[in-house]
Amino acid sequence: MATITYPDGTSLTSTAIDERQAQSMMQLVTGRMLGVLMTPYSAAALATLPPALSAVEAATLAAPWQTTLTLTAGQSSAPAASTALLYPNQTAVGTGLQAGTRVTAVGPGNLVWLSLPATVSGPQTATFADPDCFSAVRVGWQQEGQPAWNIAADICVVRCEPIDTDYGRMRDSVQSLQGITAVFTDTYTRAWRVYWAFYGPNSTDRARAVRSALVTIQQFADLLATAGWYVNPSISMPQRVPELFQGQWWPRTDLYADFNEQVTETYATGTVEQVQVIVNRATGVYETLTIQGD
Amino acid sequence: MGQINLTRVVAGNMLPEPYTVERSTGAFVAGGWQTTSINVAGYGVVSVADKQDLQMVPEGDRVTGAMVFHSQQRIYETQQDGGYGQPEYGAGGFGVATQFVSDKIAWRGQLYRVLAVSPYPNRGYWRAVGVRMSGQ
Repeated sequence: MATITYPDGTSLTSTAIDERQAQSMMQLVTGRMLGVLMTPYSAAALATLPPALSAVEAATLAAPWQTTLTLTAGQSSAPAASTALLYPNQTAVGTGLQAGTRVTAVGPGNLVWLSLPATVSGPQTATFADPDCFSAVRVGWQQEGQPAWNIAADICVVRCEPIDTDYGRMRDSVQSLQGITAVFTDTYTRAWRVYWAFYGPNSTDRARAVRSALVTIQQFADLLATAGWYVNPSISMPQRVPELFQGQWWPRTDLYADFNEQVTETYATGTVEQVQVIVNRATGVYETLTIQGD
Repeated sequence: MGQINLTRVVAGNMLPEPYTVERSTGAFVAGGWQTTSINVAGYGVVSVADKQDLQMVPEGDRVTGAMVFHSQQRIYETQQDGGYGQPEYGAGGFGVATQFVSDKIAWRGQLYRVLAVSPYPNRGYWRAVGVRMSGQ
């Protein structure tokens, strides 16, 4: 929320989020839609999100992802209480797990394969994280660029930009008085277009998944609603556009969707609390009146 | 047939001069790519790749320009990130690198971002073209 103060002391406050917050939010939501483990978020990472979303999701995003592994000393596989959100290359930390342990495979029967053998036996709580989660879903338009990707890697790049719509030009204006401050409240809809560029061998299927999740899964709508964002459910089909780059065709699929952001802006300005009226005649002050505001 | 080693030309005592290379490392974080960098001493022949042109646009004046930097040590462009499950950070054919986005070279009060590299390690040098970043 941005507030601008003017020289006369009045101020304009807006709930509108900026493009960096929008892209950070879509990075998080896209990751979740693709089944990427997007936790834990550091304090610095939380601060990149729209404030309302950050506040609502803080506890969830800061919490590490944990499950119980039944370890056997010297063995690299262990049954897990749950394999939800577990996939290869995640880091695993906990009692009985050696430093640098990673998940190498998640098999049937809730069996998890680890890169290093366990050092103790018995059920232990393990904490999982995906150090590549922000690499799996990236944000475009970085000031000095960013590293590229492997042709075999499934990555996604999100970009957000505000767009012009007729509906966005209509405003609902309400005036109210708070004490002696007049508050002009303006509510309008700002439209955004979010672009996803999916690369990798599964790019087309991942684009389909995001398109479906946007309109069918309520938890993502709820997540976006905390920042005042609502998806326009008329979403074009993903477009498959492989790129010829350096002698190879790189798989790529593009998707975009429009969102409406509810923006509320308040302009606060002072009003006249009272006016003193002094009526003078040749003989002196005739009358003094005070006009009091509501 | 032997190869010509140009190290003495690139870093001999006639034309070369010092510069500083800002070498980046970094990570993908929430919101995008975050770069941190360390300074590495560079030494080699520096010459002009593209003159400094003044662009006059309604918004103001901007100065372009590019320089060529020669070095015995490798100069890096943005390296491919192994990324999601891929371990081979910046292999690139010249051994594993530890940096991620292009070097920036500080020379005579200006920063130049490396946009092109000619790899001649077989002849004892690297040649890089950097563009003037400040615009002023």
